[in-house]
Amino acid sequence: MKLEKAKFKKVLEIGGGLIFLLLFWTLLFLIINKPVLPPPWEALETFFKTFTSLLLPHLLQSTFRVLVSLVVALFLGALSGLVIGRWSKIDDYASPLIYLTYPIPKIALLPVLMGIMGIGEASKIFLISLIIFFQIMVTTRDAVRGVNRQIVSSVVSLGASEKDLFQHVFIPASLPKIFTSLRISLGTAMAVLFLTETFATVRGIGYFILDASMRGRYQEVFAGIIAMSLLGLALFVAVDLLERKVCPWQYI
Amino acid sequence: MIKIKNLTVEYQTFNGKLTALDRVNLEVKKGESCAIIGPSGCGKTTLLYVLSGLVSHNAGNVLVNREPVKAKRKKTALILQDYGLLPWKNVWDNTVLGLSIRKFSPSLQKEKAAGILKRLGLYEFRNYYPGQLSGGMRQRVAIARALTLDPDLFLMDEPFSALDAITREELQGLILSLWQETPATILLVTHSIEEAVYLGQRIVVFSPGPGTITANINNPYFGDIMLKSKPEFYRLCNQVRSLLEGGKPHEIRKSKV
Repeated sequence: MKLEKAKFKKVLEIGGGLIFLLLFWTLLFLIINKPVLPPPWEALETFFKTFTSLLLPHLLQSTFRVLVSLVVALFLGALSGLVIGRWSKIDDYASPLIYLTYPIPKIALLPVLMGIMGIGEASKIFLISLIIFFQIMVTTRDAVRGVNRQIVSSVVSLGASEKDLFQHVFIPASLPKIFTSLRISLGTAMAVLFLTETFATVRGIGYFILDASMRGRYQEVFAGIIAMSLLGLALFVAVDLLERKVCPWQYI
Repeated sequence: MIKIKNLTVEYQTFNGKLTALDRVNLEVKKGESCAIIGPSGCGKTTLLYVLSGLVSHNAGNVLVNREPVKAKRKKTALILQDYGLLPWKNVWDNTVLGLSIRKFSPSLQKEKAAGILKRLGLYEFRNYYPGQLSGGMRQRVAIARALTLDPDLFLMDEPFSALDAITREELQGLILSLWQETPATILLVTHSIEEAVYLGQRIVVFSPGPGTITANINNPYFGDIMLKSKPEFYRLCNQVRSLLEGGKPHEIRKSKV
């Protein structure tokens, strides 16, 4: 009963946001009144009409790219964050390196990466992973650094080895922060995804949008944008659900 | 049980060297409960951490059960002011943590933890997370976790100072009755005079930092659950208070530096 109610509330919340967005879009359409901004109903019509025939293959390609990038970056970022955060001697050397390389606009490396790794999936996935890797690593490092010393002392006094400390203290302590960084990274990943897909490829939702806009088919542009935002929503919901599953103590 | 000889501990801080403990000598017999009291910053917590093996010392000898102190001594339990519980583990998993780290069999873990949680009135709350419990119950979980390992030495660092008065008295009573069931050696660091007099068979008074022992009193009234309602209790409290105040001028001088 309570669960049913909560589900209903969730639907209402998402629906409310959707209605607001559609109204805002309509308003803009009425004010601007140019073919570059089609009304939402036309875009939605194109979205549903072309979804299986046109959009879906592109969407699946993009989903694959963003998911693989997220998983790779999550694994490597969390792992190195845990190591750097735990041992300050490593941190002393790693941090300057991180602060030197973090601000580099890595998108500028895309042509270079394509020269090295080819124009296939590898260079795109590598670039997205590289960009969000830093966000996840820095957050995880700080989470590990911030673990309460009394907790560490208590667990050590129970006989914990370094492995036990990671298993029982550092990993669970940083999980909520890792999820936060994952959410932030998700937005970044989608933005970078779009960019990599406008470059030397004929597949992916980014290509689809760019291609449609070159040909002046703005309904298709917006159908693509809708698809991309739905992909983002689905991923955000998935991350939320995963966090609830993995970090139940956060929801008491 | 505990033999400390000329213990000196120095910390490196931003302002140079800080002497936390200066040539401390202390002996605690097996099964004795010793309360250490002193103003904040007198190094009493440092002493506890040295005994737990988590902080190394610069000079002197520290023996626990005739052996040089080391971290992870199996029979030493450490109980801290903010409980040291893991927020991501429920009461049950927090309680069995020591047993599971020490690779006890699951059936033995279950048996031990269930018995202790029942004894401390926590069994019904075994699926709760620490965040769902009151401070007093959290500290009881920490005590339960310590008890699972059958310690012969309890090191307690201001264990009840974050609790309200009623809960504090209740837990002090719990510690006393647990001690009466199985007398383990207790080293209790506190800044509460009443707590020191109620729980300390011996009361050790520290001077302000760098910590040195200024008094070492035997408490003939220790072990009396009803002690707090008796006039002797207040007499001893007053005695400890005046001993503590004896260290004051030193503190004033230090704060000017």
